[in-house]
Amino acid sequence: MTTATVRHQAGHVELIIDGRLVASVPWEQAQQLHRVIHAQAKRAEEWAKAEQIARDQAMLIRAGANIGLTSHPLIQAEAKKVAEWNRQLRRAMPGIKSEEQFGAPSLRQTGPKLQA
Amino acid sequence: MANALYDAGREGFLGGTIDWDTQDIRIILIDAADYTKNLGTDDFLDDIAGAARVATSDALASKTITAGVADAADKTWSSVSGDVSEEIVGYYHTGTESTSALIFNIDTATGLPVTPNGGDITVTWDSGANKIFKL
Repeated sequence: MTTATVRHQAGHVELIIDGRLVASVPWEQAQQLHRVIHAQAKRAEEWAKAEQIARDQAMLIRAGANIGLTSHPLIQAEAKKVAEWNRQLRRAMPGIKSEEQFGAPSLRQTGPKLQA
Repeated sequence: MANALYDAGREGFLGGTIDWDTQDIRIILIDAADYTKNLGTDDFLDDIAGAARVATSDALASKTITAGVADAADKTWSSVSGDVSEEIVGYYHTGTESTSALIFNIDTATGLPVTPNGGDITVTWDSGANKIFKL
């Protein structure tokens, strides 16, 4: 099993794997690397949890809450699709009550046609 | 309940898949004993059992959309026989039931329910501000 250790040595940050020094970077670069790795890790997590995020976003859409959980266009598109077409979700969350108005139609029936 | 649009109908209008005044819109006389409507989940004609469809019209004519108000010429179902009918459903007729979107459901109208006697049944739309319906 691989063991990794991160430590600092004077003004450098060192990465040691299995007892061997594999990287030694100045502290400024180490902080920059940290930010990049953190950002990429968040994006990777978003992709790994895309299905759950899409479902949660779909619920917010049906609830009429204009809150975005992701800026990823593919996940947004999937959320929109789920909100519109998932039958269980549509049944559980019928949506915002419609405000349309109807006229008052009337039906008129004539007597049956007589056979000649 | 009350006269209302199906979710599928509203989505169709907003999504641009239903064009009221140019596409083939038809109405069906419905026997509610064979159809329990769900405005949120019933989306296409295949959600309405064949037994519930007492009479189906041909395309509505003279449709207009001015100011978001849907209107059309009055419509007659000819020589209607069958079960007592309690509702009128409007839908976009594509020729395929699984893609024919349900638009509106009318269960409150003068003359409803109607018991078909073999004669013609004509629906006269409201001539007031809301016509058939207003978005």
